[in-house]
Amino acid sequence: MARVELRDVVKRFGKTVAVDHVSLEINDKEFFILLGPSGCGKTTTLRLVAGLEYPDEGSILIDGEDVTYSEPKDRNVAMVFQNYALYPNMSVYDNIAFPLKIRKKQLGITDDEIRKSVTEVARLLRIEDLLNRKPSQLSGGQQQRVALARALVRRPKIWLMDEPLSNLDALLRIAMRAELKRLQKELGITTIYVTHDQAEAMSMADRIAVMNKGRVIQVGDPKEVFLEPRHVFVATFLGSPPMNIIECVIEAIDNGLLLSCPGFTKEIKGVSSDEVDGVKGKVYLGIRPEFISISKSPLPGTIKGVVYVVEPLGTENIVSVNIIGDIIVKVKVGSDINVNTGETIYLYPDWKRISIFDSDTGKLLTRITKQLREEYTEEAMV
Amino acid sequence: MKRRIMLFKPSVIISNLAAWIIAFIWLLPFIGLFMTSTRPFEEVVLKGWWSIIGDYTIKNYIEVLKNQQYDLYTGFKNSLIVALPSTVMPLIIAAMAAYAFSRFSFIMKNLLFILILVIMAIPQQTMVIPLFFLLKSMGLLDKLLGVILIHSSWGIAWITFFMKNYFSMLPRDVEEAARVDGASYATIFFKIILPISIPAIAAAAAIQFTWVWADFFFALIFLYSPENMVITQKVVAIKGQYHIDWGLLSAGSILAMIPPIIIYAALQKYYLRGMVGWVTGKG
Amino acid sequence: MAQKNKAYRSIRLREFKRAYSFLLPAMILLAIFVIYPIIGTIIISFEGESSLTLDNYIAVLTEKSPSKALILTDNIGKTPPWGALVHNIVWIAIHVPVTTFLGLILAYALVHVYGRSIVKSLVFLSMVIPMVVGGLIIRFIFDAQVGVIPRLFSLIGLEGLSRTWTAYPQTALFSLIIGSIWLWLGFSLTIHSAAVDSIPKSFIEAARIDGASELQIFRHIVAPSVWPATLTVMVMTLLWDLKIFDIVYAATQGGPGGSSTVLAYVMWLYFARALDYGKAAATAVILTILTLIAASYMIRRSLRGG
Repeated sequence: MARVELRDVVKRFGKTVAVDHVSLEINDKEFFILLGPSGCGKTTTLRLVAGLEYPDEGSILIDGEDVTYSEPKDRNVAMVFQNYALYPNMSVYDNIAFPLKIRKKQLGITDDEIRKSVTEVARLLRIEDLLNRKPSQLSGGQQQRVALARALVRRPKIWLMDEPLSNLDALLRIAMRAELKRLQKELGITTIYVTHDQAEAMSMADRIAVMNKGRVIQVGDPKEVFLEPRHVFVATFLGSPPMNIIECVIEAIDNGLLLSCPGFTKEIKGVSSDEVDGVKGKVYLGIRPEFISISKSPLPGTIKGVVYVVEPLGTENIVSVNIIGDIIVKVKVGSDINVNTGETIYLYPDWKRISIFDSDTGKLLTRITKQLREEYTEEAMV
Repeated sequence: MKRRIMLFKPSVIISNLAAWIIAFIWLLPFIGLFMTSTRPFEEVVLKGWWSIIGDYTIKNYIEVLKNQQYDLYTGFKNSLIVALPSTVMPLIIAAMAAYAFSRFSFIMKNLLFILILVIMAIPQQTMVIPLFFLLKSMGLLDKLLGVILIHSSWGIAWITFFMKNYFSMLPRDVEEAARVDGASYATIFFKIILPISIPAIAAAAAIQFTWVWADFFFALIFLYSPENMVITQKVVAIKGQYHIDWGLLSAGSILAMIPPIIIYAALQKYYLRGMVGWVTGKG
Repeated sequence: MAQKNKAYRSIRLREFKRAYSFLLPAMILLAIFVIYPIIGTIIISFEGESSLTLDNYIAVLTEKSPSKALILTDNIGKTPPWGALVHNIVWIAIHVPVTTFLGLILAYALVHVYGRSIVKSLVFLSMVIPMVVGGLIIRFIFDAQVGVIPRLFSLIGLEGLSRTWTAYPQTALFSLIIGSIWLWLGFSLTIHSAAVDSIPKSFIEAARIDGASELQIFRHIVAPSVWPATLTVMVMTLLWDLKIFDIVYAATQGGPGGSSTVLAYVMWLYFARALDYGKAAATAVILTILTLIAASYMIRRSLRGG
């Protein structure tokens, strides 16, 4: 049982606010990922949970107990560092045994028991043969496993991981993702994992917190943050390529609103301008490249464009389409669809999947988005 | 191909020639000293030490070591008794202080650091008068222990500066891993930081030992009984007021420089890196 | 909120205790054996018959006896009439530029030299030996009976320079200064060599491809790149020259006739020979002030560096 709670936590370094009023709840046995660009405060948040930094405001609770200002050693957490941080002067065995050895009295364990635990965890991570080596004699992947073993050996309540896979080469990284996730589920250790790699986050997390500039922008399971971005930042940070963002103008018309975008307009019925007070003017229309289809002939409701460039990615192609002026929309289509640069084509967005964001705050305009999507759900049913 | 062309360029030839001539000139006094110490003095005076034909003898060495008038054996022993603890003690104490300077924030940190830098620059002459009376009142005047305490304290400043620069370059995550693993700062310092700082410790130890061994001024002020004198005092004493027996003096000089030269030869890499780190702050 | 402050204060206290538990041994030793004596010396230097005065400083600076004079001796006519402070300045004026420049050129020349690490080690050897031994070696190489240099001059027939240099007031100081170049070049070479090694190879190669001569490369690329190291060498050499003592004691005892005294040696004479602690302290403080002025560059740079 291990729940972690951050309540309105603030951490400043001099004048910069590294963590800005962050509140999070991480459930027992959950694989929780902090995702964001470098400098977004995700690592600092993790270090606050570890006790390597103390917050300026707010509190941190582990299983309901306030640990805001406790020493790391009193929190029963284990951490895996980006550079593994193995003790270079000790053998692999001593590295793994270190957390147990220094708690020997406290835990009341014998050398034999330590040996047993180390052997066991080494077997689990398949590094039994490396126990007598020094860290400098290991490959990156092996060091990684030793670091994991060291973090596992005393069965901590919480596992903290700071980009543990970022120094591995691409293939190994993907293999380790699966293994880490399996290990975490098998042992049922609550895990907080920091990464800037969205693919990693998508494939491993139970839930993701997307962070930017010290704030948590959105928390949700991978599907949710991908399909239902609540902020233009999330929309553009996730996905590859990220969501297309088109600057449009919204204005009130009879019985609804009119969305005028470069190259096309859209009526949104059933919302009055009162309900969306203050959003008259510029908005961002977001459509994921995955949710746009291509047609070679004009159909009703399609948007005309010219193929600008085609990037083949094996099973898929990413087609950049120039709609009007210098506005480019990216579309992900199957590689069987053949289009050529310069060709005129017609885009058909899946309106059920679009999002509309406020251009000032970047936040999702929930009401308008919902209404627009519903219209098409209805339309489809008709 | 490229190497060969380089070899015959005039600038390269001149560089090689000049460098080796300088190296030879710089070595010459040592050769002279060694020759003088191993040849009967009459021959040296007559033919010069550079004439290699003739008798060789270790009589001079035996004389300076054994003869009660010179007694370099005692000086050598005393120098070791002083230099070893005066190397180990300040190293540990200064490394601890350096760790605090590089990792913790505390009040008066900047002030204390400036103090360390100032002490590094101050001449020994500024301390000896009150120290003389302090040691006297502590009963440590003309005692090796008194000199050990002074050398140890004196060494703390530069070793703190030196080790702080080294610690500041060490990655922090290893220590943080240890903290999360449950280690206290004392455990981290003694079990992790010190073992991984062996290159810097070796450099600091080599230099501190050499300096303490070489010290003459403190010894001159604080040690005056023949049985408590260190080797530098003993060697200078071989030189008489009017007549100099170069055979004995050169033998004594060579004995006095053997330990630092052995240390330099054994730890040359660390020694030179230490020298650079000492002055530039880039260990 | 009050509780929060309390928690925060307890962290600060924890950090304070932790920091000072690491600092304490060093602070105790420094306080007793370094700081207390430094303050003591300053106080002694101002102590007069009854109150604090500048008498010691005035006496020390106007002293005329050849062995203890700092500025001018009453020895006018016979030998150079200068005192210890002037000797230090002459020493610095010759030793600092020669050692610095020689070390710099040699460091660059060594780039092309086969067995460069051996050359470096040999030149550095004189840095490792005790300085009193260095002083004795200076005495040795300038000795009329066994030394190389007087013998060389006697071959050319220069009478004045074929005798024991350290025994004559005209040559004593210069023999020490020349000897100190031999002793200290290794330092200049080592620091410069480390700096030369850290110049990116591509800089020099690019210049060479552009047709620059070795001299041009040295002047326009090497010398400016290693300037911080050169400055360091100059300051450290200057500090060493100010504090010089062992060499003088071993080679000349400040003589003959006070012609090779230096500040530190005069301080020792006041302290150990004259037992005049006030004047000894005043001399030490003058020496300290000069050192701190010279060292202020290093201190400021170290503070900037973190």
